[in-house]
This record gives sequence, structure tokens and C-alpha cells, in this order.
Amino acid sequence: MQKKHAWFNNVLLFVLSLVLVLPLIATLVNSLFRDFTSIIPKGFTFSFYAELFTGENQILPVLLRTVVIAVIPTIILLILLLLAMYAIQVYFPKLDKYLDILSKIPYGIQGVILAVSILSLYSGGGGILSNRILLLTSAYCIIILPYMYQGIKNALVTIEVMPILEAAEILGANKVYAYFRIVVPSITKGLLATMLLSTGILFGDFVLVNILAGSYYKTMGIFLNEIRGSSGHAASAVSVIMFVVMLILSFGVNKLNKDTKSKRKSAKAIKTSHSKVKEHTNHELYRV
Amino acid sequence: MASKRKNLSYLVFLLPFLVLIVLFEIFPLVSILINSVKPVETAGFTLEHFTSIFTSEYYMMSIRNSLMIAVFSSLIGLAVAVIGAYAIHHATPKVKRFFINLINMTSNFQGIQLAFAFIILLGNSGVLVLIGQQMGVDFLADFDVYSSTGILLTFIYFQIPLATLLMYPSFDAIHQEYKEAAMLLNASNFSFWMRVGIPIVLPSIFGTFSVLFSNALAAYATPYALMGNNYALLPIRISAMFTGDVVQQVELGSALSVILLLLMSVMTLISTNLLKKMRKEG
Repeated sequence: MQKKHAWFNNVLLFVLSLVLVLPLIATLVNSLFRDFTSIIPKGFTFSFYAELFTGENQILPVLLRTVVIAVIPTIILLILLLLAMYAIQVYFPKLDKYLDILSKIPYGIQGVILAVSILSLYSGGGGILSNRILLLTSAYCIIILPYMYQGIKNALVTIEVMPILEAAEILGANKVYAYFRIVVPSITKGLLATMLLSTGILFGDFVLVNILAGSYYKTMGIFLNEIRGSSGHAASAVSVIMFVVMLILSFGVNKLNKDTKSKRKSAKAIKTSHSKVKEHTNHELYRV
Repeated sequence: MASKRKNLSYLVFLLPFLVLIVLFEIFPLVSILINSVKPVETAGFTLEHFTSIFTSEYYMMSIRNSLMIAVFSSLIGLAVAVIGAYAIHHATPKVKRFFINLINMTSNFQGIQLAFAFIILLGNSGVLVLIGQQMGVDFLADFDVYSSTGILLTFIYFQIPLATLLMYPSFDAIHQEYKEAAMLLNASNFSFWMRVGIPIVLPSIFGTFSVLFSNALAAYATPYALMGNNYALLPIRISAMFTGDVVQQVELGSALSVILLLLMSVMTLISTNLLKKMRKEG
């Protein structure tokens, strides 16, 4: 019964694929041809890309800036969360549910509201808190909090944290030392996957940067929005470059997750009662 | 006693995280709530911002537009995704893997990029519009991407990959054994889906719908890239009120934000309650 229908479903998926990649293909073609006003484009050229790397309005500094602002919040939040989760797991287990709630709130706030509320609260005040780049960095930390929290938690589930810490203590090492020298290094891959995922989310951001720091800190999103006023072809090239970077990031996430998944499975088999691993939170719901 | 003091000293580990959360999550949220019921320029309590929103044709239009686009883009996106997920469930493994990779890929392509791609395809001199004119296809030739229809179309486009990613795992819960058992009991394909298949995926459908709805309601980059600040949509209006160069209407903007937050919470509450009920019955 199933075999008979397989070809029909395959065709259905191919048609759907075609429809879904149409905007992508249009952008790619528009970035490679001078004239894209009929089905068959004319005037193949790489000059729109070359222009971006050699011309007056260079993309490289923008790309670098975007990577910096997308990576730094993930590092800051990783450190803060690891410290907080350590303290909670070892000394204040009762606080765990509050951490859980606090980490999920940003999910419900969504970008626009977070951005405008931070802007109205701090931008007028003067002093260090009104620095737009600081505001943007902090807002980014909040936006990726749900994903980072869940990711770190999933990674920590793969190993027995408490027995390791206790064993280390018996052997004379203190718990903090053991946590950062044994526990954290052994979940590096999971942490890296989470950070890459968050970086990808921030890399594609437009909402927060446009509201909080559009004229102070030009990222790829802002750059794309600016350049499309002057040249559609150049803007297409920017869009393609942006897409390629995000593709590389999500490829990295998948690769790292695949590596940890086998590990997680064996860990799960040993301690099923301990905790349920939630995996479906990986979908990036926010970036629109 | 000594160990207790030692424990307290570990609060230092919590402190940096708490500072971040309080300054940039709690305070902003509270300030939005306070500003929405605060009279302009003075302290006190007032509901005038809400009444002026509910009596203003323009703001009501933003709310209506937002709701309409969120509901329709979610419904259409979900419908396509259910068909897609059904097809994934029945397709050959190679095609299945290919398609899942593809939707993963296209889910990266959104916001400004997606809006811009639609301008290339369907803008004033978009390639599909020109083709439509040459071939006499009125639907394409007259398509206006800078309109509600255009925004709806772009929204549907980013909803489909997301919805499919959320939906397809639930179809895996329909095991082949169920079908065989149903066949042995002489059930038709139709009655199998009505009595077994759909009830299994229904909770997923509701859950996905609520995610899509919130996602569309708060979407900012795509409509902004298409129409700038000139379209009556909640997120666009809210941001314009806070970033306006001439007049900023922080209080009114806060009230609009509260409405947006409420709309999303109501949706989430309804769907979680429905899900709970279904689990109990199932």
C-alpha cells in the first residue's frame, strides 16, 4: 500500500522543493547576471561580487563586524550560564525552576518588544548604560538565552556531573576546579554546537540591530537594507554571501550535534530516570 | 553554620547572570507594563492609551492586519506543511532526507533576504511580473508585492519550512503496525486516517499553529523591508513609535506592545490548554 504511493509523494516533495527554493534561486541568478528580466538571464558576470570586495563600499569589514557582534554575546552568556548553573546544581538545587522560567521568558517577548523596551529604558540616560553597542550586546544575550540554556542543559545531561564532582573532591580537588577542568571540557562539542546555533541566529538578525543600533553599528542586515536602494544586483550578492555564511554555521551545528548524539544515546540508556532530553527546541523560531 | 556561609559565597557565581537578567529582561518588561498605564510626562495611572488605541481607526487597523496576516499565513503554511509532512512520511528515504535538508536550508533564508528575493521576483520590475506581462498572465502581471497580499505571501514562505520542521516528526508516531491492524479489522484508508492517523498528529497541529501564529504576529524584518514604516502592522507601528525622529510616543507604543504580548499569550494559553485536554483524553 505504501510502495504504490511513494512515487506520488516523491513528486509532491520535489514540486514543493522547487517552490521553496524559488526565491533563493532568483537571488542567486540576480547576483550573477547583468540582466534578469526574462526567464533566461543575460550577461553572466562576477563583477557584483568583485565590486563588494574591492570597491568603495566594502563588505569585508561589515562581515567581520557582524561575526564579532554575533559571537561575543554567545561567549559572555556561555560563561554566565555555566557559572549560574554550577552554583544552582551544586548549592541551590531549589532555584532550578526559576532559572528555567527566566530562561524561557525571552521566547515569549520576541525581538521587537525587547528592543523598544531596552531602547526607551536606557538610551536617554547617558552614562555607560546608554552605549548602543553595549545595549545591543546585552539584548543579544537575552535573545539567545532560551537556546543557550536548553543547549547547555542538554549537554550537561550527557554526563554524571555530581558523581564526578564528588569523586574529584575525595581526591582533593575542589569542586569549582573539577567543574571547569573536567565537566566543562568533556561537553565542549555540545557547548560549541549551542554557540554556533546562537551565532547563526544573531548573524541573521535585523530587528534588534535596526532598532537599537542601526546607525551606530552596521551589520550585514543593515548593509543589505542600505545597498538595495542603490543596486539590486549588489544587494543580491550580499544576500547570497549572508546565506552562505548561515549555511556554513548550520552545517557546523548539524555536524557537532551528530557527533554528540551517539554519546547522548549511551548516556540516556544508563540513566533514563534522570531527565528527559528535549531536542526539538533547536528550531529557530525567532529570527524573522 | 560554616558550610552555610560557604554556600552563600557561591551566590557570587549567580550574580553576573542575575545582573544581566534583571537589567535587560525584567526591567525592560516591567517598564513596558508601567509605561503603558502611565500618563504622558507625569506619574500616575491611566488607561487612556488603551482607550485611544481602541477608538482609533488606524491602530485598530494595525491590530486587524496583524491578526489577519498571522491567522492566514499560519493556516496556509500549516496546511502546506501537513501535506509536506504526510509526503515525507510516505516518500522514499533518499527523497525524505533530501527534502528535510532542503527545508532546513530554506529556513535560514528569511527576513530582509526573503523580502528582497520577493522584490526580485514580484516587485515592480520583477522577473515574474515581466514574464506575466509578456505572456499575458494577468495574475502575475498585476501582482503587487508591496501590499497585504505581498506581505501575506512572504509570511507564508517563511512559515512553510518552520511548520514542516515542527510537524514531520509527529507523523513518525503513526506506526506501520497501526495500519496493518486497521487493515485486518477491515478499516478503509479514509477511516484509518479519521480515527487513528489524524488524532495522533492533532496535538502537533495545534502546537505548531500557536508557534506559527506568534512567529507571524511578531515578524518585523520582512514587512519592514517591503514597506518601511508605512504599513499598518503591530510590530512596525510599535518600533516607529520608539524610534521616530520627530515625535516619540513611548507610552502609546508601550500600550501597543502590551496588546501584542497579550495576543501572543492568549494564543499560547489556548493551545497549551487544548494540548493538556487532549493528552488527558488520549
